[in-house]
Amino acid sequence: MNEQIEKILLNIDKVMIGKRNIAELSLVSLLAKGHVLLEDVPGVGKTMLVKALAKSINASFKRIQFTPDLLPSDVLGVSIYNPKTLAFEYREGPIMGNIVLADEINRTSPKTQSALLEAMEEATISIDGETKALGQPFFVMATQNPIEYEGTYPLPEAQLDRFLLKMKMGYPTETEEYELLTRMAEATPFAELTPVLHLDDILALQQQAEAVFIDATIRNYIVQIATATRNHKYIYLGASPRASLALMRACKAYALIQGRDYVTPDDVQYLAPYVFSHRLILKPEARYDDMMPEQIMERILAKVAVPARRVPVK
Amino acid sequence: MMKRSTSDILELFIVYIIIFLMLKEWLVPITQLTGTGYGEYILLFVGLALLVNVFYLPFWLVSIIKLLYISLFIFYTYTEKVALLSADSFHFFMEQIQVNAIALATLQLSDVTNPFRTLLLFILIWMLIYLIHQYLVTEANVFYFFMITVFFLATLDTFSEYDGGKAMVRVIILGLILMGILYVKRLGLLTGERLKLTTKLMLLTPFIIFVIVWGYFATLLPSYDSVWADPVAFVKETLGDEDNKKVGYGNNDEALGGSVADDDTKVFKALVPERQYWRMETKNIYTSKGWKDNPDQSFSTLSGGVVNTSLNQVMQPTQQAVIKNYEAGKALGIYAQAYVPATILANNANLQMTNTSEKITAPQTPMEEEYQILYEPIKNPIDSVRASTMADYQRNDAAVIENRTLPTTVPQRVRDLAQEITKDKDSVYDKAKAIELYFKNGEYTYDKLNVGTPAEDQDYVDQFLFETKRGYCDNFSTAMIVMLRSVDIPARWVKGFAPGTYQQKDPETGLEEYLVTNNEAHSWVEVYLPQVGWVQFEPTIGFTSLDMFAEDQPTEQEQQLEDKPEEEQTLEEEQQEQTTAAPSFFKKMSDLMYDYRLVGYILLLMAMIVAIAALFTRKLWLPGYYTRKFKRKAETDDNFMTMYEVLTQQLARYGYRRAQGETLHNFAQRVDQAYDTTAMRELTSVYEQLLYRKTHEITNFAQLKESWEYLINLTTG
Repeated sequence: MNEQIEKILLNIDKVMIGKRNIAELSLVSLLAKGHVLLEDVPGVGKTMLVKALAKSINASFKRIQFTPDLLPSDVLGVSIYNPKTLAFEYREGPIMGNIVLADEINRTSPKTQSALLEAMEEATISIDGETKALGQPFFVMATQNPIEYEGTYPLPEAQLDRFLLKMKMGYPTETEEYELLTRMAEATPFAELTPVLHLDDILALQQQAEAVFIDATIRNYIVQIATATRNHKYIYLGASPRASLALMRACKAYALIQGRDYVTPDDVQYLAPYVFSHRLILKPEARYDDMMPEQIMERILAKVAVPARRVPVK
Repeated sequence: MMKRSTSDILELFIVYIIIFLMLKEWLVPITQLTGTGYGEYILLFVGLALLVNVFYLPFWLVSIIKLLYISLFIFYTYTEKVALLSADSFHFFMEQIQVNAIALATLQLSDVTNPFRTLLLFILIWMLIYLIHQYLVTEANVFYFFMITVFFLATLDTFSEYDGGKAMVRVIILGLILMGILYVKRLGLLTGERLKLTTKLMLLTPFIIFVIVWGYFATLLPSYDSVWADPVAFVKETLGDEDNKKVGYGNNDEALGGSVADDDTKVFKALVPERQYWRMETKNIYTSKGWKDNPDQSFSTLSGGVVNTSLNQVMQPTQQAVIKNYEAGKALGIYAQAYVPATILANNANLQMTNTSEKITAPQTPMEEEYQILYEPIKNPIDSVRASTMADYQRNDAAVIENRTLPTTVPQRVRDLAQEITKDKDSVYDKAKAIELYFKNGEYTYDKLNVGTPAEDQDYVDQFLFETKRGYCDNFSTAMIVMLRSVDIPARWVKGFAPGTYQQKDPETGLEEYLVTNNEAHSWVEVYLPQVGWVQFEPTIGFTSLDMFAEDQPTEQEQQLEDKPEEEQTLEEEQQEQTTAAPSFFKKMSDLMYDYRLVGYILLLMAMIVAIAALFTRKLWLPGYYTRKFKRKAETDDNFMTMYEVLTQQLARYGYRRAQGETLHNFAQRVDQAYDTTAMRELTSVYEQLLYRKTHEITNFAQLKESWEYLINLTTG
């Protein structure tokens, strides 16, 4: 395990209980310059996780609560005419932070959603013809309620593709919840959190992640998995090449977190469900057979041959 | 060791009872076919060995019990009237050790004594049971044993006289039940739970009922005849080996030829000291189509049973045979004669012998159930047999005149061939032997089914010698006689029976019991040698010679040697060597090649069996091989990777197979968990770096190798 990452995770552990894997995956996304979609019911600690992460790396934290009447300018900021200076002045929107929590993203209109997602993709915004760069690093953690809930605008598939990982937080176990109550009863640990890393360290880690070695056999393994999703009987639309790329970047970041400078098939197997599941469009048959994307990914991974032997040099 | 409950012991006990019954199926044919006596005591040893396994007695105790049993068995079987724990018994054992040690040290394997052979048999059984026990305890699986048992019985049933039909049904039922019991046991081992006796019974009862009911039902079902009626005949023909199955004994031989079918009607049972050819009658008038009865049917009465044949007379017979007749009551039944007959002791006082054919019958009265023959084994003094030449024939000797004529219809090429075969030989005996051996030159085939019948204007012998080249005893014997006569050697045709199939040894009298059926009906040749008289020859390929000075009958030879004083023995051995060397070295070699071809096939078969066994047991010996192999290899990345791959293959053979979608890391975890180590993960992490990182410096090769050896040797159990 990478020492710096270990520090962050230990810091987050002070306020979060039993969600180490979610924190780790968030860091994967952060180091791979991607964004995370958290799908869960309210109140399981999504906000706390992001806040703790931001505080640990001394990053500016912004939060946007998406509502049906939220406008793109509420997100991106707006230029306002200043009579004193006789000029339009740009008022920063909440997106101009390092770590942004986009809460309940599926509650707002597609127009506002796409404004956010475009910013996520480009890492810049354009206001009145002026292009402004977003903070570095820039990491969005969007949350959404399960789409069965009323009054939601489900994100279209093309938009979902913008998120590197999608994960579910889930309820804590009984002991974890009890532990949580005990800890909160005595003190407010969040206030006591101190930064353990600097933003520059994160940028450096991002660069290191990019330099992680990925062997040809493993790149091929990723391609094989992606191809398998395209040919699966339950899948209408499989993983795109962008998804394969995303998986490779995620694997490199994860390998770095694990303290390695090379990717193993274990990394691929661990991350593939998080990277691919939300990008798959299932056929109706899958629903009849009660198959979720995660289960289908599990089956695909069990089938695709892991590169575990030397390939004879031709 | 796990604590063993009563139900465990009970289960093992039942399993061993079944194994005992299966081993019994092994021993029964072995004792039957090899003539090993005291089968029941050997079986008792098997039972004893299995019983001590049930109770897991300490190894030293078991060894002592078994060795004691073997010693006692050998002692009581091979010594008579020697008190146990006396000086004599001590002497017996010391002598055995000495003789066999010398035999082994000088590689004279045929010199090892019977007690030593018995010891080896016991040790073999001991090893077999040990192996079965190991398989049972470590793997709870006896499939190999079951399979080999079935294979063994099938082979014996096909290639020997042993009828394994019922044994096969028994073995299959026993084997399936045994596998069922062990399967349930393995289920218990697999789940790690201790199955209760009732649970086991619940699982097993329907299975056992099913096997027994269906096994029984299957035997009731009609079965098709085999598509390939007799593979043995084909195999034997290919191998050039024949057995003694024959046509029935008929009286009319005037038109020989055509195929004959098997007929296993029993004729008689003979109790004899050693195997015997049974002479019934002779014929000497050849007609180009077959053998005609002599018109002179005059006979003389046997007084006091004394047989006065034209063979050399025996005054004081030493051997006695008892014939138990299946044709009792039959009129005109022919009394068998052993070589060389002296007296026939029958209740019937009216025995008479036809003078020309030397057939013994009792025309007025039906044959009795049992009669005895006093006879003397053939012992032709070899030097006089080989000394006589053509010039020694007496012109006016009746035997010469009567047994030398041929019809003019015998083609010239038959005569030319005979001339060609015999021209380099001086003595009459060598000439006859050359013709006898001529049939073994590989051109002729023993066949009872595809045998031609001569056409109207064709000679029976000519057709066989030059056209069909396939036939049975009548073809060979008649052809030999015609060739002999065409070079003026008197010879006659003998009808009778081959020795028959060995049944058992009578423990009281020590006599061997042979069953003679119509399949054993046979014909051979008697050649009249000057100054010697009638000497027997066996031209039919696949039959061992019946004369005592032939080389290819070692048992009889040994027997004969034992009967003689020491000085004579060496003398005779030398003479024998001369005989064997004399008739052309190459001829002799080709005979040898012919005789040992079977040995070659057996060696080949054994090599194949060894190879297959090695293939099946490779998971047991491969680790040792690899450990030695990689001990010497350089400490390179490449070699490490090969070692790791070899290990995964070995693990796969042992049942730990990496699934297609399983990563090395997960696989290593699984293996480590199973063996309770961390060695596999240690190796895997290095292998992963080499594989996925492409660069790695191995610094702790020695330690890795240690882990590797530890793991790979774990897999041998």
